[in-house]
Amino acid sequence: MSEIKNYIKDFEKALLQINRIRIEEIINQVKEQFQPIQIIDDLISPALQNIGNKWDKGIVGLAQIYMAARICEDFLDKLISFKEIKRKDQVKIAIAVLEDYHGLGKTIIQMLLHTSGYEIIDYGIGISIEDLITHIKKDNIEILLISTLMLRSALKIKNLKEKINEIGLNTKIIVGGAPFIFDRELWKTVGADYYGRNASEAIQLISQIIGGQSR
Amino acid sequence: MSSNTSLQRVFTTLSHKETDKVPLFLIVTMHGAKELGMSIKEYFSKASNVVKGQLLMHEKYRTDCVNTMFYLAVEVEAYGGEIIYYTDGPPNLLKPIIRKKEDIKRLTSPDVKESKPLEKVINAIGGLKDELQDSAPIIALVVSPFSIPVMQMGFDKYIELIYEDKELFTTLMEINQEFCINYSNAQLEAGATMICYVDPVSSPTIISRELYLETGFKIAKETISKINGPVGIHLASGRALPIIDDVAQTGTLVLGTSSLEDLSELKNACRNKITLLGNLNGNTMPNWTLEQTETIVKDAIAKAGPGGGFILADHHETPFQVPENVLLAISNAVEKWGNYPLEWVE
Repeated sequence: MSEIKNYIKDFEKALLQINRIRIEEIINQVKEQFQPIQIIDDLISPALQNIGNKWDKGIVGLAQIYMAARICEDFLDKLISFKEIKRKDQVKIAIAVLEDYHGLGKTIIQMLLHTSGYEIIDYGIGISIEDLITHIKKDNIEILLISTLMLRSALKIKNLKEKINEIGLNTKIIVGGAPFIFDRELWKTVGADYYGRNASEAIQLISQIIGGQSR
Repeated sequence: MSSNTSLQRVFTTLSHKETDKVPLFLIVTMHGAKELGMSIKEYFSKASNVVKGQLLMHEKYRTDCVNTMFYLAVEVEAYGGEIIYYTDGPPNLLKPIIRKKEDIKRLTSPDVKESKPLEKVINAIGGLKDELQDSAPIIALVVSPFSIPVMQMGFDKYIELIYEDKELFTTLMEINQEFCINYSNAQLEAGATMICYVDPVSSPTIISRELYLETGFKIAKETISKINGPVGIHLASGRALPIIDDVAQTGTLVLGTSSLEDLSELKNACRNKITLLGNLNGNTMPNWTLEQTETIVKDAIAKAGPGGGFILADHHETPFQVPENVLLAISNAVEKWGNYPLEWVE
Protein backbone atom coordinates (compact mmCIF):
# COMPACT_ATOMS: atom_id res chain seq x y z
CA MET A 1 0.00 0.00 0.00
CA SER A 2 1.50 3.31 -1.01
CA GLU A 3 1.77 6.26 1.30
CA ILE A 4 -0.74 9.02 0.81
CA LYS A 5 1.96 11.66 0.64
CA ASN A 6 3.10 10.13 -2.66
CA TYR A 7 -0.06 11.53 -4.21
CA ILE A 8 0.47 15.14 -3.05
CA LYS A 9 2.62 16.33 -5.96
CA ASP A 10 0.26 14.91 -8.59
CA PHE A 11 -2.80 16.21 -6.76
CA GLU A 12 -1.30 19.67 -6.42
CA LYS A 13 -0.44 19.75 -10.12
CA ALA A 14 -3.98 18.74 -11.05
CA LEU A 15 -5.40 21.44 -8.78
CA LEU A 16 -3.21 24.14 -10.33
CA GLN A 17 -4.24 23.01 -13.80
CA ILE A 18 -7.90 22.97 -12.66
CA ASN A 19 -8.01 19.46 -14.08
CA ARG A 20 -11.20 18.08 -12.51
CA ILE A 21 -10.89 14.75 -14.31
CA ARG A 22 -7.42 14.06 -12.92
CA ILE A 23 -8.43 15.32 -9.48
CA GLU A 24 -11.36 12.92 -9.43
CA GLU A 25 -9.09 10.04 -10.55
CA ILE A 26 -6.70 10.70 -7.67
CA ILE A 27 -9.51 11.06 -5.12
CA ASN A 28 -11.01 7.74 -6.29
CA GLN A 29 -7.60 6.05 -6.01
CA VAL A 30 -6.94 7.30 -2.48
CA LYS A 31 -10.52 6.61 -1.34
CA GLU A 32 -9.85 2.92 -1.79
CA GLN A 33 -6.81 2.99 0.44
CA PHE A 34 -7.30 5.67 3.06
CA GLN A 35 -9.94 7.04 5.43
CA PRO A 36 -11.61 10.36 4.51
CA ILE A 37 -10.07 12.16 7.50
CA GLN A 38 -6.61 11.04 6.40
CA ILE A 39 -7.32 12.17 2.83
CA ILE A 40 -8.19 15.62 4.16
CA ASP A 41 -5.33 15.93 6.65
CA ASP A 42 -2.57 14.30 4.62
CA LEU A 43 -3.48 15.09 1.03
CA ILE A 44 -5.97 17.91 0.54
CA SER A 45 -4.77 20.26 3.30
CA PRO A 46 -1.04 19.94 2.52
CA ALA A 47 -1.67 20.40 -1.22
CA LEU A 48 -3.71 23.55 -0.60
CA GLN A 49 -1.10 24.79 1.83
CA ASN A 50 1.66 24.32 -0.75
CA ILE A 51 -0.39 26.19 -3.32
CA GLY A 52 -1.01 29.02 -0.85
CA ASN A 53 2.71 29.33 -0.14
CA LYS A 54 3.42 29.47 -3.87
CA TRP A 55 1.06 32.42 -4.23
CA ASP A 56 2.92 34.24 -1.51
CA LYS A 57 6.13 33.77 -3.52
CA GLY A 58 4.45 34.97 -6.73
CA ILE A 59 4.53 31.56 -8.40
CA VAL A 60 0.78 30.93 -8.77
CA GLY A 61 -2.19 33.27 -9.26
CA LEU A 62 -5.02 34.02 -6.87
CA ALA A 63 -7.54 32.59 -9.35
CA GLN A 64 -5.77 29.22 -9.14
CA ILE A 65 -5.98 29.31 -5.32
CA TYR A 66 -9.67 30.11 -5.47
CA MET A 67 -10.48 27.36 -7.96
CA ALA A 68 -8.31 24.81 -6.12
CA ALA A 69 -10.12 25.59 -2.86
CA ARG A 70 -13.53 25.49 -4.62
CA ILE A 71 -12.84 22.12 -6.22
CA CYS A 72 -11.55 20.62 -2.97
CA GLU A 73 -14.66 21.83 -1.18
CA ASP A 74 -16.86 20.29 -3.90
CA PHE A 75 -15.08 16.93 -3.58
CA LEU A 76 -15.07 17.10 0.20
CA ASP A 77 -18.84 17.45 0.26
CA LYS A 78 -19.13 14.22 -1.77
CA LEU A 79 -16.44 12.42 0.23
CA ILE A 80 -17.60 12.97 3.77
CA SER A 81 -20.18 14.94 5.72
CA PHE A 82 -18.91 18.02 7.55
CA LYS A 83 -20.17 16.51 10.83
CA GLU A 84 -17.53 13.79 10.54
CA ILE A 85 -14.60 16.17 10.07
CA LYS A 86 -15.78 18.97 12.30
CA ARG A 87 -13.37 19.72 15.10
CA LYS A 88 -14.69 18.86 18.60
CA ASP A 89 -15.30 21.59 21.14
CA GLN A 90 -14.12 24.16 18.68
CA VAL A 91 -13.74 27.76 19.84
CA LYS A 92 -16.06 30.26 18.19
CA ILE A 93 -14.49 31.64 15.02
CA ALA A 94 -15.97 34.31 12.75
CA ILE A 95 -14.91 36.04 9.57
CA ALA A 96 -15.78 39.43 8.09
CA VAL A 97 -14.77 42.03 5.56
CA LEU A 98 -14.75 45.28 7.53
CA GLU A 99 -16.25 48.32 5.76
CA ASP A 100 -15.17 46.92 2.42
CA TYR A 101 -17.05 45.10 -0.33
CA HIS A 102 -14.19 42.99 -1.71
CA GLY A 103 -14.99 39.47 -0.61
CA LEU A 104 -12.65 37.11 -2.50
CA GLY A 105 -10.08 36.76 0.29
CA LYS A 106 -12.81 35.94 2.80
CA THR A 107 -14.34 33.34 0.46
CA ILE A 108 -10.99 31.59 -0.06
CA ILE A 109 -10.21 31.44 3.66
CA GLN A 110 -13.69 30.16 4.46
CA MET A 111 -13.36 27.33 1.97
CA LEU A 112 -9.94 26.34 3.26
CA LEU A 113 -11.06 26.44 6.88
CA HIS A 114 -14.12 24.37 5.99
CA THR A 115 -11.98 21.69 4.34
CA SER A 116 -9.87 21.60 7.51
CA GLY A 117 -12.92 20.96 9.69
CA TYR A 118 -13.41 24.43 11.15
CA GLU A 119 -16.92 25.84 11.48
CA ILE A 120 -16.88 29.56 10.73
CA ILE A 121 -19.58 32.15 11.34
CA ASP A 122 -19.74 34.49 8.37
CA TYR A 123 -20.53 38.14 9.14
CA GLY A 124 -20.38 39.05 5.46
CA ILE A 125 -18.90 42.00 3.64
CA GLY A 126 -19.22 45.75 4.17
CA ILE A 127 -19.99 45.34 7.89
CA SER A 128 -19.52 48.33 10.18
CA ILE A 129 -17.50 48.33 13.43
CA GLU A 130 -20.68 48.78 15.48
CA ASP A 131 -22.46 45.83 13.87
CA LEU A 132 -19.37 43.66 14.18
CA ILE A 133 -19.06 44.40 17.90
CA THR A 134 -22.74 43.52 18.39
CA HIS A 135 -22.24 40.20 16.61
CA ILE A 136 -19.02 39.12 18.31
CA LYS A 137 -20.46 39.96 21.74
CA LYS A 138 -23.63 38.00 21.09
CA ASP A 139 -21.80 35.01 19.58
CA ASN A 140 -18.90 34.99 22.08
CA ILE A 141 -16.37 35.01 19.27
CA GLU A 142 -12.89 34.08 20.36
CA ILE A 143 -11.11 34.38 17.00
CA LEU A 144 -12.12 36.99 14.42
CA LEU A 145 -10.63 36.85 10.92
CA ILE A 146 -10.75 40.15 9.05
CA SER A 147 -9.96 40.47 5.36
CA THR A 148 -9.67 43.84 3.63
CA LEU A 149 -8.57 45.18 0.26
CA MET A 150 -8.65 48.89 0.99
CA LEU A 151 -6.21 50.73 3.24
CA ARG A 152 -9.00 52.82 4.80
CA SER A 153 -10.74 49.62 5.93
CA ALA A 154 -7.53 48.15 7.31
CA LEU A 155 -6.99 51.30 9.39
CA LYS A 156 -10.46 50.92 10.92
CA ILE A 157 -9.28 47.73 12.63
CA LYS A 158 -7.56 49.95 15.18
CA ASN A 159 -10.94 51.39 16.23
CA LEU A 160 -12.43 47.89 16.32
CA LYS A 161 -9.65 46.60 18.58
CA GLU A 162 -10.02 49.57 20.91
CA LYS A 163 -13.74 48.89 21.27
CA ILE A 164 -13.09 45.18 21.89
CA ASN A 165 -10.66 46.09 24.67
CA GLU A 166 -13.02 48.73 26.10
CA ILE A 167 -15.84 46.23 26.44
CA GLY A 168 -13.50 43.62 27.87
CA LEU A 169 -13.97 40.97 25.19
CA ASN A 170 -11.24 38.41 24.70
CA THR A 171 -11.51 38.23 20.90
CA LYS A 172 -8.25 37.71 19.03
CA ILE A 173 -8.03 39.36 15.62
CA ILE A 174 -6.22 37.76 12.66
CA VAL A 175 -5.93 40.08 9.65
CA GLY A 176 -5.14 39.50 6.01
CA GLY A 177 -5.44 41.13 2.60
CA ALA A 178 -3.59 43.41 0.24
CA PRO A 179 -2.90 46.36 2.63
CA PHE A 180 -1.07 43.96 4.96
CA ILE A 181 0.93 42.43 2.12
CA PHE A 182 2.23 45.80 0.95
CA ASP A 183 2.90 47.09 4.47
CA ARG A 184 4.21 44.23 6.62
CA GLU A 185 4.05 46.35 9.78
CA LEU A 186 0.46 47.46 9.29
CA TRP A 187 -1.05 44.61 11.34
CA LYS A 188 0.87 45.85 14.39
CA THR A 189 -0.04 49.49 13.69
CA VAL A 190 -3.75 48.66 13.72
CA GLY A 191 -3.46 46.55 16.85
CA ALA A 192 -4.30 43.17 15.31
CA ASP A 193 -3.15 40.14 17.24
CA TYR A 194 -1.90 38.20 14.22
CA TYR A 195 -1.35 38.54 10.49
CA GLY A 196 -1.82 35.73 7.97
CA ARG A 197 0.11 36.18 4.71
CA ASN A 198 -2.22 33.76 3.01
CA ALA A 199 -5.13 31.48 3.83
CA SER A 200 -2.86 28.55 4.79
CA GLU A 201 -1.05 30.70 7.31
CA ALA A 202 -4.38 31.82 8.77
CA ILE A 203 -5.21 28.14 9.41
CA GLN A 204 -1.85 27.58 11.09
CA LEU A 205 -2.41 30.62 13.29
CA ILE A 206 -5.84 29.39 14.36
CA SER A 207 -4.34 26.04 15.22
CA GLN A 208 -1.60 27.77 17.18
CA ILE A 209 -4.06 29.98 19.08
CA ILE A 210 -6.32 27.14 20.13
CA GLY A 211 -3.49 24.70 20.76
CA GLY A 212 -4.21 22.25 17.91
CA GLN A 213 -7.70 21.04 18.69
CA SER A 214 -8.50 17.51 17.63
CA ARG A 215 -11.68 16.35 15.99
CA MET B 1 16.84 74.06 -14.64
CA SER B 2 14.32 71.95 -16.61
CA SER B 3 13.68 73.31 -20.07
CA ASN B 4 11.20 70.85 -21.53
CA THR B 5 7.46 70.90 -21.10
CA SER B 6 5.97 67.89 -19.34
CA LEU B 7 4.59 66.69 -22.65
CA GLN B 8 8.00 66.83 -24.32
CA ARG B 9 9.60 65.15 -21.31
CA VAL B 10 7.12 62.28 -21.34
CA PHE B 11 7.23 61.69 -25.08
CA THR B 12 11.05 61.66 -25.12
CA THR B 13 10.91 59.14 -22.29
CA LEU B 14 8.47 56.99 -24.24
CA SER B 15 11.01 56.81 -27.08
CA HIS B 16 13.56 55.36 -24.63
CA LYS B 17 15.81 58.37 -24.62
CA GLU B 18 17.02 60.43 -21.71
CA THR B 19 15.26 63.79 -21.50
CA ASP B 20 16.03 66.68 -19.12
CA LYS B 21 14.57 65.06 -15.99
CA VAL B 22 12.95 61.80 -14.90
CA PRO B 23 9.21 62.38 -15.35
CA LEU B 24 7.03 62.16 -12.26
CA PHE B 25 3.44 60.85 -12.33
CA LEU B 26 1.64 60.84 -8.98
CA ILE B 27 -1.64 58.97 -9.28
CA VAL B 28 -3.42 61.53 -7.10
CA THR B 29 -7.20 61.57 -7.36
CA MET B 30 -8.96 62.10 -4.01
CA HIS B 31 -6.28 64.54 -2.85
CA GLY B 32 -8.00 67.06 -5.11
CA ALA B 33 -10.85 67.05 -2.57
CA LYS B 34 -8.38 68.08 0.13
CA GLU B 35 -7.09 70.88 -2.12
CA LEU B 36 -10.59 72.29 -2.51
CA GLY B 37 -11.69 71.64 1.08
CA MET B 38 -14.51 69.33 -0.01
CA SER B 39 -15.73 65.85 0.78
CA ILE B 40 -14.71 63.17 -1.72
CA LYS B 41 -18.35 62.79 -2.75
CA GLU B 42 -18.77 66.49 -3.43
CA TYR B 43 -15.42 66.64 -5.25
CA PHE B 44 -16.37 63.93 -7.70
CA SER B 45 -19.88 65.30 -8.27
CA LYS B 46 -18.70 67.87 -10.82
CA ALA B 47 -16.15 67.89 -13.63
CA SER B 48 -15.10 71.46 -12.75
CA ASN B 49 -13.99 70.31 -9.28
CA VAL B 50 -11.74 67.63 -10.74
CA VAL B 51 -10.32 70.11 -13.27
CA LYS B 52 -9.44 72.60 -10.49
CA GLY B 53 -8.09 69.86 -8.22
CA GLN B 54 -5.89 68.25 -10.87
CA LEU B 55 -4.46 71.63 -11.97
CA LEU B 56 -3.66 72.61 -8.38
CA MET B 57 -1.92 69.30 -7.72
CA HIS B 58 -0.05 69.38 -11.03
CA GLU B 59 1.39 72.76 -10.09
CA LYS B 60 1.99 72.02 -6.42
CA TYR B 61 3.70 68.66 -6.91
CA ARG B 62 5.36 69.54 -10.25
CA THR B 63 4.05 66.33 -11.76
CA ASP B 64 4.37 65.61 -15.45
CA CYS B 65 0.78 64.67 -16.07
CA VAL B 66 -2.74 65.18 -14.90
CA ASN B 67 -5.17 62.25 -14.71
CA THR B 68 -8.90 62.11 -15.13
CA MET B 69 -9.63 59.06 -13.02
CA PHE B 70 -12.62 59.91 -10.88
CA TYR B 71 -12.90 56.39 -9.42
CA LEU B 72 -12.48 52.99 -11.08
CA ALA B 73 -16.13 52.07 -10.54
CA VAL B 74 -17.41 54.99 -12.67
CA GLU B 75 -17.63 52.66 -15.67
CA VAL B 76 -19.79 50.15 -13.82
CA GLU B 77 -21.86 53.10 -12.60
CA ALA B 78 -22.47 53.76 -16.31
CA TYR B 79 -23.71 50.16 -16.60
CA GLY B 80 -26.21 50.94 -13.81
CA GLY B 81 -24.18 50.22 -10.69
CA GLU B 82 -24.62 52.05 -7.39
CA ILE B 83 -21.67 53.82 -5.81
CA ILE B 84 -20.84 54.08 -2.11
CA TYR B 85 -18.79 57.09 -1.05
CA TYR B 86 -16.39 57.26 1.88
CA THR B 87 -14.88 60.21 3.66
CA ASP B 88 -11.40 58.72 3.54
CA GLY B 89 -11.05 56.42 0.56
CA PRO B 90 -11.99 55.78 -3.05
CA PRO B 91 -15.67 55.44 -3.97
CA ASN B 92 -16.60 51.80 -4.52
CA LEU B 93 -19.32 49.81 -6.17
CA LEU B 94 -21.97 48.75 -3.65
CA LYS B 95 -22.95 45.47 -5.31
CA PRO B 96 -22.45 43.63 -8.60
CA ILE B 97 -24.72 44.43 -11.54
CA ILE B 98 -24.54 40.84 -12.81
CA ARG B 99 -26.19 38.72 -10.09
CA LYS B 100 -26.14 35.42 -11.96
CA LYS B 101 -24.13 34.58 -15.06
CA GLU B 102 -27.25 34.28 -17.21
CA ASP B 103 -27.68 38.06 -16.78
CA ILE B 104 -24.76 38.41 -19.22
CA LYS B 105 -27.08 37.40 -22.07
CA ARG B 106 -29.19 40.51 -21.38
CA LEU B 107 -26.30 42.90 -20.72
CA THR B 108 -25.76 45.81 -23.08
CA SER B 109 -22.90 48.29 -22.95
CA PRO B 110 -23.81 51.88 -22.06
CA ASP B 111 -23.87 54.59 -24.71
CA VAL B 112 -20.88 56.74 -23.78
CA LYS B 113 -22.55 59.91 -25.08
CA GLU B 114 -25.73 59.34 -23.04
CA SER B 115 -24.12 58.35 -19.74
CA LYS B 116 -24.22 60.93 -16.91
CA PRO B 117 -21.32 59.41 -14.94
CA LEU B 118 -19.11 59.30 -18.04
CA GLU B 119 -20.20 62.79 -19.10
CA LYS B 120 -18.46 64.15 -15.98
CA VAL B 121 -15.21 62.48 -17.00
CA ILE B 122 -15.42 63.67 -20.61
CA ASN B 123 -16.13 67.22 -19.43
CA ALA B 124 -13.18 67.09 -17.03
CA ILE B 125 -10.91 66.08 -19.91
CA GLY B 126 -12.20 68.98 -22.00
CA GLY B 127 -11.68 71.41 -19.13
CA LEU B 128 -8.11 70.24 -18.56
CA LYS B 129 -7.34 70.43 -22.28
CA ASP B 130 -8.56 74.03 -22.40
CA GLU B 131 -6.22 74.95 -19.54
CA LEU B 132 -3.15 72.88 -20.34
CA GLN B 133 -3.26 72.82 -24.13
CA ASP B 134 -0.14 70.81 -25.04
CA SER B 135 1.97 71.54 -21.97
CA ALA B 136 1.29 68.29 -20.09
CA PRO B 137 -0.20 64.90 -20.91
CA ILE B 138 -3.79 64.29 -19.86
CA ILE B 139 -4.03 60.62 -18.87
CA ALA B 140 -7.53 59.15 -19.13
CA LEU B 141 -8.43 55.76 -17.69
CA VAL B 142 -10.35 52.73 -18.81
CA VAL B 143 -10.72 49.43 -17.00
CA SER B 144 -9.88 46.60 -19.41
CA PRO B 145 -12.67 44.39 -20.75
CA PHE B 146 -10.89 41.52 -19.01
CA SER B 147 -10.73 43.17 -15.58
CA ILE B 148 -13.99 45.11 -15.29
CA PRO B 149 -16.06 41.93 -14.66
CA VAL B 150 -14.52 41.78 -11.18
CA MET B 151 -16.72 44.76 -10.37
CA GLN B 152 -19.58 43.74 -12.69
CA MET B 153 -20.13 40.30 -11.12
CA GLY B 154 -17.83 39.82 -8.13
CA PHE B 155 -14.35 38.33 -8.22
CA ASP B 156 -15.30 34.76 -7.24
CA LYS B 157 -18.10 34.44 -9.80
CA TYR B 158 -15.87 35.93 -12.49
CA ILE B 159 -13.05 33.46 -11.84
CA GLU B 160 -15.58 30.63 -12.16
CA LEU B 161 -16.85 32.11 -15.43
CA ILE B 162 -13.34 32.24 -16.89
CA TYR B 163 -12.65 28.60 -16.09
CA GLU B 164 -16.09 27.04 -16.47
CA ASP B 165 -18.17 28.88 -19.08
CA LYS B 166 -16.18 29.89 -22.13
CA GLU B 167 -19.28 30.85 -24.10
CA LEU B 168 -20.62 33.36 -21.60
CA PHE B 169 -17.09 34.59 -20.88
CA THR B 170 -16.63 35.33 -24.60
CA THR B 171 -19.99 37.11 -24.74
CA LEU B 172 -19.06 39.28 -21.77
CA MET B 173 -15.68 40.13 -23.30
CA GLU B 174 -17.34 41.21 -26.56
CA ILE B 175 -19.75 43.52 -24.71
CA ASN B 176 -17.01 44.98 -22.54
CA GLN B 177 -14.57 45.36 -25.42
CA GLU B 178 -17.04 47.39 -27.46
CA PHE B 179 -17.58 49.71 -24.50
CA CYS B 180 -13.87 49.99 -23.69
CA ILE B 181 -12.97 50.98 -27.25
CA ASN B 182 -15.82 53.51 -27.50
CA TYR B 183 -15.07 55.03 -24.10
CA SER B 184 -11.32 55.24 -24.80
CA ASN B 185 -11.84 56.93 -28.15
CA ALA B 186 -14.41 59.34 -26.69
CA GLN B 187 -11.87 60.38 -24.06
CA LEU B 188 -9.18 60.87 -26.71
CA GLU B 189 -11.59 62.96 -28.80
CA ALA B 190 -12.31 65.10 -25.75
CA GLY B 191 -8.62 65.92 -25.44
CA ALA B 192 -6.93 63.10 -23.52
CA THR B 193 -3.33 62.50 -24.58
CA MET B 194 -3.08 58.87 -23.61
CA ILE B 195 -5.24 56.05 -22.29
CA CYS B 196 -4.27 54.15 -19.16
CA TYR B 197 -5.65 50.62 -19.65
CA VAL B 198 -6.11 49.27 -16.11
CA ASP B 199 -5.82 45.48 -16.20
CA PRO B 200 -5.03 43.90 -12.81
CA VAL B 201 -6.60 40.52 -13.64
CA SER B 202 -3.92 39.99 -16.32
CA SER B 203 -1.22 40.13 -13.64
CA PRO B 204 0.49 36.88 -12.54
CA THR B 205 -0.71 37.86 -9.05
CA ILE B 206 -4.17 36.84 -10.25
CA ILE B 207 -3.83 34.38 -13.14
CA SER B 208 -1.14 32.10 -14.56
CA ARG B 209 0.82 33.21 -17.61
CA GLU B 210 -0.73 30.34 -19.57
CA LEU B 211 -4.23 31.60 -18.87
CA TYR B 212 -3.16 35.20 -19.53
CA LEU B 213 -1.95 34.28 -23.01
CA GLU B 214 -5.35 32.72 -23.81
CA THR B 215 -7.36 35.59 -22.36
CA GLY B 216 -6.09 38.98 -21.14
CA PHE B 217 -3.23 39.14 -23.61
CA LYS B 218 -5.43 38.53 -26.68
CA ILE B 219 -8.08 40.91 -25.41
CA ALA B 220 -5.53 43.65 -24.69
CA LYS B 221 -3.88 43.28 -28.10
CA GLU B 222 -7.18 43.42 -29.93
CA THR B 223 -8.61 46.27 -27.86
CA ILE B 224 -5.48 48.42 -27.95
CA SER B 225 -5.30 48.06 -31.74
CA LYS B 226 -8.68 49.81 -31.97
CA ILE B 227 -7.91 52.66 -29.58
CA ASN B 228 -7.01 55.76 -31.58
CA GLY B 229 -4.13 56.97 -29.48
CA PRO B 230 -1.22 55.91 -27.26
CA VAL B 231 -2.00 53.39 -24.53
CA GLY B 232 -0.25 52.40 -21.31
CA ILE B 233 -1.16 49.23 -19.39
CA HIS B 234 -1.38 49.38 -15.60
CA LEU B 235 -1.57 46.26 -13.43
CA ALA B 236 -2.73 48.16 -10.31
CA SER B 237 0.08 46.88 -8.03
CA GLY B 238 -0.02 43.35 -9.46
CA ARG B 239 3.21 41.57 -10.38
CA ALA B 240 4.49 41.83 -13.97
CA LEU B 241 7.90 40.19 -14.49
CA PRO B 242 6.70 36.81 -15.83
CA ILE B 243 4.64 38.50 -18.58
CA ILE B 244 6.62 41.60 -19.57
CA ASP B 245 7.72 40.20 -22.93
CA ASP B 246 4.11 39.30 -23.65
CA VAL B 247 2.76 42.70 -22.55
CA ALA B 248 5.30 44.35 -24.86
CA GLN B 249 3.52 42.71 -27.78
CA THR B 250 0.08 44.12 -26.97
CA GLY B 251 0.81 47.54 -28.44
CA THR B 252 1.20 49.28 -25.09
CA LEU B 253 3.89 51.93 -24.72
CA VAL B 254 4.02 51.86 -20.92
CA LEU B 255 3.64 49.32 -18.12
CA GLY B 256 2.60 50.32 -14.57
CA THR B 257 4.33 48.04 -12.07
CA SER B 258 4.24 46.95 -8.43
CA SER B 259 6.43 47.56 -5.39
CA LEU B 260 6.39 43.77 -4.91
CA GLU B 261 9.01 43.46 -7.66
CA ASP B 262 12.55 44.81 -7.82
CA LEU B 263 12.81 47.95 -9.95
CA SER B 264 16.20 46.97 -11.43
CA GLU B 265 14.78 43.65 -12.64
CA LEU B 266 11.72 45.43 -14.02
CA LYS B 267 13.90 47.95 -15.85
CA ASN B 268 16.05 45.21 -17.37
CA ALA B 269 12.96 43.39 -18.58
CA CYS B 270 11.36 46.55 -20.01
CA ARG B 271 14.47 48.21 -21.47
CA ASN B 272 13.91 49.52 -25.00
CA LYS B 273 10.61 47.58 -25.22
CA ILE B 274 8.14 49.47 -23.04
CA THR B 275 8.47 52.42 -20.71
CA LEU B 276 8.50 51.41 -17.07
CA LEU B 277 6.11 53.25 -14.72
CA GLY B 278 6.45 52.73 -10.99
CA ASN B 279 6.91 51.51 -8.45
CA LEU B 280 6.56 53.56 -5.26
CA ASN B 281 4.63 51.74 -2.53
CA GLY B 282 1.59 53.88 -1.81
CA ASN B 283 0.58 51.65 1.10
CA THR B 284 3.65 52.54 3.15
CA MET B 285 3.80 56.13 1.90
CA PRO B 286 1.61 57.55 4.70
CA ASN B 287 4.38 56.67 7.15
CA TRP B 288 7.43 57.84 5.21
CA THR B 289 9.65 60.40 6.87
CA LEU B 290 11.04 63.13 4.64
CA GLU B 291 14.49 61.53 4.78
CA GLN B 292 13.10 58.11 3.86
CA THR B 293 11.18 59.66 0.98
CA GLU B 294 14.30 61.19 -0.53
CA THR B 295 16.22 57.91 -0.13
CA ILE B 296 13.45 55.86 -1.74
CA VAL B 297 13.09 58.23 -4.70
CA LYS B 298 16.86 58.48 -5.20
CA ASP B 299 17.13 54.69 -5.11
CA ALA B 300 14.35 54.29 -7.67
CA ILE B 301 15.96 56.80 -10.03
CA ALA B 302 19.34 55.06 -9.69
CA LYS B 303 17.80 51.68 -10.52
CA ALA B 304 15.56 52.64 -13.40
CA GLY B 305 16.44 56.15 -14.60
CA PRO B 306 19.59 55.61 -16.67
CA GLY B 307 18.86 55.32 -20.37
CA GLY B 308 15.41 56.89 -20.17
CA GLY B 309 12.28 54.78 -20.57
CA PHE B 310 11.30 55.34 -16.93
CA ILE B 311 8.54 57.37 -15.30
CA LEU B 312 8.55 57.54 -11.51
CA ALA B 313 5.09 56.90 -10.09
CA ASP B 314 3.26 55.17 -7.29
CA HIS B 315 2.17 51.61 -7.96
CA HIS B 316 -1.55 52.31 -7.55
CA GLU B 317 -3.87 55.27 -6.88
CA THR B 318 -2.32 57.40 -4.11
CA PRO B 319 -4.08 56.56 -0.83
CA PHE B 320 -6.03 59.43 0.72
CA GLN B 321 -3.93 58.95 3.89
CA VAL B 322 -0.67 60.07 2.23
CA PRO B 323 0.12 63.51 3.66
CA GLU B 324 0.99 66.49 1.49
CA ASN B 325 4.49 66.79 2.91
CA VAL B 326 5.40 63.31 1.63
CA LEU B 327 4.11 64.12 -1.86
CA LEU B 328 6.12 67.35 -1.82
CA ALA B 329 9.16 65.44 -0.62
CA ILE B 330 8.81 63.04 -3.58
CA SER B 331 8.64 65.99 -5.94
CA ASN B 332 11.62 67.70 -4.29
CA ALA B 333 13.66 64.52 -4.50
CA VAL B 334 12.96 64.23 -8.24
CA GLU B 335 14.06 67.86 -8.70
CA LYS B 336 17.24 67.14 -6.75
CA TRP B 337 18.21 63.73 -8.11
CA GLY B 338 16.27 63.28 -11.34
CA ASN B 339 18.14 65.60 -13.73
CA TYR B 340 19.71 63.79 -16.67
CA PRO B 341 22.39 62.67 -17.39
CA LEU B 342 22.24 61.28 -13.76
CA GLU B 343 26.01 61.63 -13.32
CA TRP B 344 25.76 60.66 -9.66
CA VAL B 345 24.56 57.15 -10.54
CA GLU B 346 27.38 54.59 -10.51
